[in-house]
Amino acid sequence: MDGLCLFSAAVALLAVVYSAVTVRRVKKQISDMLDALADVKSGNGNRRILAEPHEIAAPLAYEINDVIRSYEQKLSVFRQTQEADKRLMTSLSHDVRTPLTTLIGYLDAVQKGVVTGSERDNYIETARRKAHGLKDYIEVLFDWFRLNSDEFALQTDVVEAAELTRKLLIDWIPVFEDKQIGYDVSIPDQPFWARLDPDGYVRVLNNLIQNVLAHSRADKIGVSLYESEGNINIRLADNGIGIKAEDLRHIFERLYKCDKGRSGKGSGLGLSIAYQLMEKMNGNIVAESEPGQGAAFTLIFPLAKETFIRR
Amino acid sequence: MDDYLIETRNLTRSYGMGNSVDNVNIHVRKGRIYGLLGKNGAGKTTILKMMLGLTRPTAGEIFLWGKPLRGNERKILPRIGSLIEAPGFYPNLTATENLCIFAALRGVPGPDAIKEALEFVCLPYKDRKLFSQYSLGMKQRLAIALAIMHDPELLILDEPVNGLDPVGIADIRSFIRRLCDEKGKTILISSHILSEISLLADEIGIIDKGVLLEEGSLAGLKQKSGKYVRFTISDTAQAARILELSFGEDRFLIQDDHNFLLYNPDISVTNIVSAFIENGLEVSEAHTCGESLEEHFTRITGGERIV
Repeated sequence: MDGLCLFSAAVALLAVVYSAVTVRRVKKQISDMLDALADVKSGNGNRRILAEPHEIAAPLAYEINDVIRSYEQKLSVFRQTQEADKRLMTSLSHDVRTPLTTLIGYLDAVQKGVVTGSERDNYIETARRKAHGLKDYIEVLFDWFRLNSDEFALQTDVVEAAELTRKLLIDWIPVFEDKQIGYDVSIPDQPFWARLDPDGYVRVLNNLIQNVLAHSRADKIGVSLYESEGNINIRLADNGIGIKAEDLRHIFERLYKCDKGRSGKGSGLGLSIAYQLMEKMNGNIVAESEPGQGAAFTLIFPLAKETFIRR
Repeated sequence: MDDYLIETRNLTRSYGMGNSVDNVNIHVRKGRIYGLLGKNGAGKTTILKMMLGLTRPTAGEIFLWGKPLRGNERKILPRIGSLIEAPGFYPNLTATENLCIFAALRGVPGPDAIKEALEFVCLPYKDRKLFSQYSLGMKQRLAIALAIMHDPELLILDEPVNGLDPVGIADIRSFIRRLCDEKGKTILISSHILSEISLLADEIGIIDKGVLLEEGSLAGLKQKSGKYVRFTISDTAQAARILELSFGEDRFLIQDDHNFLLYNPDISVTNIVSAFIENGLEVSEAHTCGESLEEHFTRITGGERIV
């Protein structure tokens, strides 16, 4: 009888001690959590609540962490975009100022009568060319802002791409000849139907060709259109200086410029716009390069079934 | 005020006669990668150990999140992930088992923390390979996994790429960059390799013989050290025209009506200045700015090269 009494007293004591310890531990955890949450509330989305996997409060702590983490991720994307926009604004003012000031330099010289006769005409021609360059730059910027505010409405339709590509290249041939760049176009006679937005496609290809002309120092350019694994591929290859492997990885990122020292040579947006447009048209764009040998960009669209029906 | 996550005030540690760390004031901003650069034995590891409470400072104070470390260790240290020398892993257990032990000791932020940490450093989860069978590179990856397992806000990494092959170095560099850019972590990293730090850090502190010689943003240092000529002139528009026409030069950046930078170190400044003057421009300043980062460090550390 005495033994039983003693035993139950011991059990009761143990239970009291145990629950006291547990309560204390949970209290401490709650106070830690409140600390962490106060920190999160004041804007620190990286704070986490730590808990051993088998603790009573662990599931609660993990759930709170999950919520904090998912909000932090969204905020981080937003912050990165904001950072990029800020850089865009800075580089924008530089990129416009340098060519614009140079242009003014020529016109001022003409106005002050520094030059006469044919030299004067040359100055005016140079200024005119620079003004057009600036206009192109502004157009690129405009595209960029429209793409990023999702105002760029693309209307994809099943389109015959071979003829579209041929028409586009015809406009470029005088430019190639003027710059003494050899060209080699290989587009088969049969039709290739694919779902794309003709304006978007033209813009992408124009951007890529412009990129080659501005940066590659190539004297040969090749455009080929062919079918591969149910896709239509449009490949633009040049024999210029090529792109270094570490640059190649970032080439479609906005504002990425391989040659950072050079100013007034492009916005750093052209390839990024091409990439975004391709993405919106459900196509793909791939860049490859052998530095010193040249570079190649390939646009890939899935072939539409019309290709096989109408052939 | 300034959002410093780590701040040290006159941090000093003496061993025997001399000071191995001498009145160091480091400022690490939130969300940045701070590179502590110095030769072997410069005092880098001692500083990092003091920040983690592993070594007591002889004098001076350390503030983390604006609070003094001393007396707040239990609150502050769980928010830090660290890699200092080799952590003690059990050789006869697998990577996952080793991390499980630490998870039970220190607590983790989620049920899949171990798996996520291993995936982040590209090590297999629940692999049967024992730690003793790991290569040096895999051991280092596991040490990084341990440092990030509890998703800490601050990472302190002492020479994290020591002993790794070039591919491993590039991998770890990209881990660290991602932690900062995507997750907004603050990272303090030490190294004796200038090229390593200059590829990774946003901010940089140069330490030599226990003394912090210089502290600043890497972009600022690079700008200071890039080679260019700064011109101050009466009319940048005319200058731009002359540069294009007479020198075929397009590597310049116009800052305003009177200032521009010329990024071609090989061009003769004398020729340019005389061309400007011939064209009736007033040149009030032409200043060549330039030394490479290496030259800069060699100079401020007193002639001895940092590799």
